Amino acid sequence: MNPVRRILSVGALFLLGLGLVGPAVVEAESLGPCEKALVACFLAPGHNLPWDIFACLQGYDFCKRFVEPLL
Amino acid sequence: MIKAKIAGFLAGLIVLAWPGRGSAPEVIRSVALEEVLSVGTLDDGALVQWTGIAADPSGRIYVLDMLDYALKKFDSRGRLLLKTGRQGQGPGEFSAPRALALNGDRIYALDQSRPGLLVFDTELRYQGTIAAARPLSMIASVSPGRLAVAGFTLVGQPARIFLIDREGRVLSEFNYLDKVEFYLADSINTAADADGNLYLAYGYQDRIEKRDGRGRILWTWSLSGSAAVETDTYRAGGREFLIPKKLFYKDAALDRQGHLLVLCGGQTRHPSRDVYVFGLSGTRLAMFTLPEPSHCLFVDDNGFLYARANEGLTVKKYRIVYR
Repeated sequence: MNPVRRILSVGALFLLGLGLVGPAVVEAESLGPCEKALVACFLAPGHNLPWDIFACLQGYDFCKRFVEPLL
Repeated sequence: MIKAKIAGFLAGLIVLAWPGRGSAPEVIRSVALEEVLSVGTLDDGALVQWTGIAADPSGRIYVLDMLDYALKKFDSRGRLLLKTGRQGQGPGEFSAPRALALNGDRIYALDQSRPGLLVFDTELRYQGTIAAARPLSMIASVSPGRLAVAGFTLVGQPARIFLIDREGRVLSEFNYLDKVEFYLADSINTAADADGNLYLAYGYQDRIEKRDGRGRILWTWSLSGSAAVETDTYRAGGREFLIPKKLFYKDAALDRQGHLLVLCGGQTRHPSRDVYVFGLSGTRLAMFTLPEPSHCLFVDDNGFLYARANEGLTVKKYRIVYR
């Protein structure tokens, strides 16, 4: 696969996988990329309503299914 | 008299040869995949990152392309016929198109960041939206005019499957989990047979089950013998969240012979490639491995299997050969 296209593809997918991207990034060695994105999503300001939780979960699920196998 | 005896003998042979009652259990020694079609190359731009897929009996293929924010229609030779959609939240637009179901002359598209379902006809003309309270996470075509849908729910609440008609009216519903114990415990991949039975392969639990149309469990199966779950606890915003770490099963589909095919996640030797083959009674008959990792598995009415290749740029269509 064209390397540039692959990076763009994976990068865009990963951003989508974030669901709603929060400003906080949890640094933890044990967390995988999808888990980090999920925690960041949960920590985003105001993301404590059910709707936001669903968006975070959808993003995590997407990341596990689509993005993680590419990494 | 002799004629009657011969007729009786023949009738006995027919009964003995009739599959089902008294027949030997099915044995599959091996499963081979023969590639019959490849759609999308590294350079043609036909697909950018496809997610959902469906095909009609004539072999025309419908594909949701997540990074192109589009629904695309290909002919049986893989040539792009039609394309619709763009990025947005308006009518017929997509934000994060995820899954697809073809039912009769309608296509139902699930967008993970939009509530409800977007409906198109087979010429990809937007027909409207079926409203839902929140984004859905699963859609499956059950029978003509009937679909199954579900969405993630909150911990502590029941998880439900809704059977809807082609207009989105709820025909029936049932709990498949009485109580969601952790986030994503209700993630399911679903296939349906001609009798209206549903096959659920749980995403984040080691659990596969067959249910009838009223939700009653007919059989269950798990690789480890128990519904094993590994979860992590995250604390965020003063709350604790239990999140599963392992994605066990990524998709489920039925072939023409009535086998249930389940695409495994990360817990097998070939992550996102190994596929279990089950018989109708829940016996695991065989396993085969896709050439490349896939996020989904689809089998059309003619028994052809579709999976991902080239990291989402390509749809591969295979003939399944059981020996």
